[in-house]
Amino acid sequence: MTISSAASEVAGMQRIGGAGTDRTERAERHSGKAIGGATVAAAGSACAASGMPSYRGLLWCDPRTKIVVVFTLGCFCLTLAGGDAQSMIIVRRLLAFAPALLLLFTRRRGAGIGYALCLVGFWLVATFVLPHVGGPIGWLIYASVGMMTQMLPAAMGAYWMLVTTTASELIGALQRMHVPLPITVPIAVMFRFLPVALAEQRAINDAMRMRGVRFGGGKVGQMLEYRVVPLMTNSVRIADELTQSALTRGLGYDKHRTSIARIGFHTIDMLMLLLCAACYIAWGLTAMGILQ
Amino acid sequence: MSDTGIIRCDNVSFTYANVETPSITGFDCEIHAGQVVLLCGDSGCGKTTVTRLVNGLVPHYFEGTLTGRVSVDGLDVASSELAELGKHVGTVFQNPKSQFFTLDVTGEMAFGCENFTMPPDDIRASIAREAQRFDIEHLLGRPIDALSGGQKQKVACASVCVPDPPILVFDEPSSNLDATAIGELARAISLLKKHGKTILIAEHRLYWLANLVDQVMYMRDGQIVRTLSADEFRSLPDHERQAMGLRPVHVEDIEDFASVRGGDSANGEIADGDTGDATDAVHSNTDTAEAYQVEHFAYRYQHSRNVVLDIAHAAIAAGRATAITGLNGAGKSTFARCLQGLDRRCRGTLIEPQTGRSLRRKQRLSSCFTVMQDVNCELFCESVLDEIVLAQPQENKSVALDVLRRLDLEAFADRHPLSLSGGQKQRVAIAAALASERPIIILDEPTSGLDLRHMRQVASMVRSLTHMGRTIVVVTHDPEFAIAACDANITLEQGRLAEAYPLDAAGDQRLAARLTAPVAA
Repeated sequence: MTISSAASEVAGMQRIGGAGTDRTERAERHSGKAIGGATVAAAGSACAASGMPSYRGLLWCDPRTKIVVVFTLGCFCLTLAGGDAQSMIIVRRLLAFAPALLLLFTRRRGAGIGYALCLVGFWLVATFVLPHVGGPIGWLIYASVGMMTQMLPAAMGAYWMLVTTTASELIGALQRMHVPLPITVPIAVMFRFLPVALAEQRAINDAMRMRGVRFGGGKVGQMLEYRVVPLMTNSVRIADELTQSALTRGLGYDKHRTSIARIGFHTIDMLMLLLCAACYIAWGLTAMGILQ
Repeated sequence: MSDTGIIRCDNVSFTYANVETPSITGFDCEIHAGQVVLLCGDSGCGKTTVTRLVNGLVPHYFEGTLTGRVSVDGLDVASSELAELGKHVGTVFQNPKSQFFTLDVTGEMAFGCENFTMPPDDIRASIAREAQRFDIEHLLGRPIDALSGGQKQKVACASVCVPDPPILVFDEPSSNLDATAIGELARAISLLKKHGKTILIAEHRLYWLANLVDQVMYMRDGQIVRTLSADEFRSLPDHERQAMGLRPVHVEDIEDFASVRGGDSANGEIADGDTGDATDAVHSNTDTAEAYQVEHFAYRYQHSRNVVLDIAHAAIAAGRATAITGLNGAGKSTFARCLQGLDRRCRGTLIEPQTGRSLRRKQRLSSCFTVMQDVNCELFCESVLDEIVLAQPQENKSVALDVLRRLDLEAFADRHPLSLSGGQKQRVAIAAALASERPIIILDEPTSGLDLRHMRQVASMVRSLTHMGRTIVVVTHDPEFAIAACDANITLEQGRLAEAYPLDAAGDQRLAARLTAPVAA
């Protein structure tokens, strides 16, 4: 068993997951219809019992919606698409506050409030302090405030996406977007293996530090070997055991595979996608000269 | 089904590919539905191969030559698909690090059912059912990384139960668990038994299973040499058990491990004038000039208010072996890391006996040597000899060979470390510690998953290291090993020093009672 074969194992699973996704949807729709409205509440409580939405708060949306939101934030706030037109500046300001709201409604109140305070602070500095400070200090404040207001919204949006999405949701969503396997497989492997590799690396590092300074002195090739060899052998061993465990639990049972990850567009997704679309429409209109 | 047995092996032999000797030969057994069966015997006796025969990893994953017939729940193992067998047999493995396929508890519990293409709502209902049964509802949705060892093993049990297989196989489930976690595991298994599951357990540590099993199969060299009923197992005479190489069946027998420590008068000295009272013991230790003094060890994680470790004072007798015991999460491993000086955020000093020099973190890094729990992380070289030379303060092959000779490893000098068995690797790591010529040697959980013979071997190695004048600190939750190898015990509780006492007769009893309490209760 090697890493590559473990990876292909994971790849196999993901392929199965990809094929199984519409089946998931069908099964969900089917059971919803059959059970009827009265038991929807029961299903909801079962879902609550299985802990699904607990760490996501009120605002639950599809990973694909999140990707669109983050992309929109990047497009307008980070790259300043749309230029200096009056309406685009308004759009940009509204968008800058969006991550604060998103975080507030997904149980990241601390981050949301902190971010909102930052924005207000920047605005205060820009309106009340900047006009009275000149010279290089003024320029420094201007540059740093400008950079922060440009970068923070997109960064906070990406943070929101990462903390509210599990690996299986993200991969399920990517597969439905027909993202090719060479991209989704490394993501799946990274999610599962990166923490393992990091922990192993830490232990190896400890063992090396304990053995003392001789590693520091010039033996670069050997140092690399000492680091990489145990990491590789341990990773292979863990991959091997992981494969055994997965195989006894039915990996590869069927070409298809169901998933309990709740992926699908709902009202909230529609609303958010519409808002994003509105931003792009505003951009188009300004480009055509209809909006100022 | 009940009259023919749910698991049947008829004259089964199996030889792994690339290995000459068969792992099991002429293996016959019949297990009836609803029974809890224990497989025991030395490492390498074929226990794990039997569990693999039942869950289908042999012959579907591990290739080799299989003769005879294995049938499980009416299926012929050799001709059934591995994934199909997965519906009938659930397996809980030894190492929690490598048996979880996803990163969160809910996803993990869903994994099997998702593979078996159950409708999502049914899966959610099954997850809710098993979570309630195993009392882990509060863990759902949490990242698996954040769980303790016992919680992980409970999640593993619950996960394999979600698709509701009639047969469950456990391969050394307790090796990484502390007393509380073993207690929880024992309760989980008795619950599964009550629900009519057929359970097959391969295990070295036996005391926690004494009241759970219906039948015990004792294996040697790939065959069942003795089958015991539950009553026979519980009343197994001590000398017979020892002759069979089994670990204690009863908590009371654990104290007898002091015999390994044997004629060493070490604990006697420390215990002089000791009335068995904890504070007295601490003082008698403290007053000994021949002890390392641990002063103000404190550690807390970044961004955390909780102190993980806070020890104002402790004494570690020089030239003796001291056990650091306590539950998972009590701060044992953090203590070991701090003592070794591996962590920058750890405060505190260690005062040497005699010189009175206080060793700061950087100095401790070069005066202690840790044999890590996962020895695979500290084997770097191409031969065992190189491994020893690497640990030496000055490279010197003849001294290194001498170290290998002293620990009976001479024959392996030219072997590649990774080609050795787990026990041998561990001995190489201990040899490296000896070769480092550092006064303090720390062993982090050295006996997880060792059988009686190997455990005794490690214990006698620890004894011989103390005879060479080394100070040994053993982090362990294995009462059998602590009693067999150590002279004194320090118990940690929530990062604080709860008690310290010498391991004399009274101390042994106290330690054994403490480290097995949750099972006995």
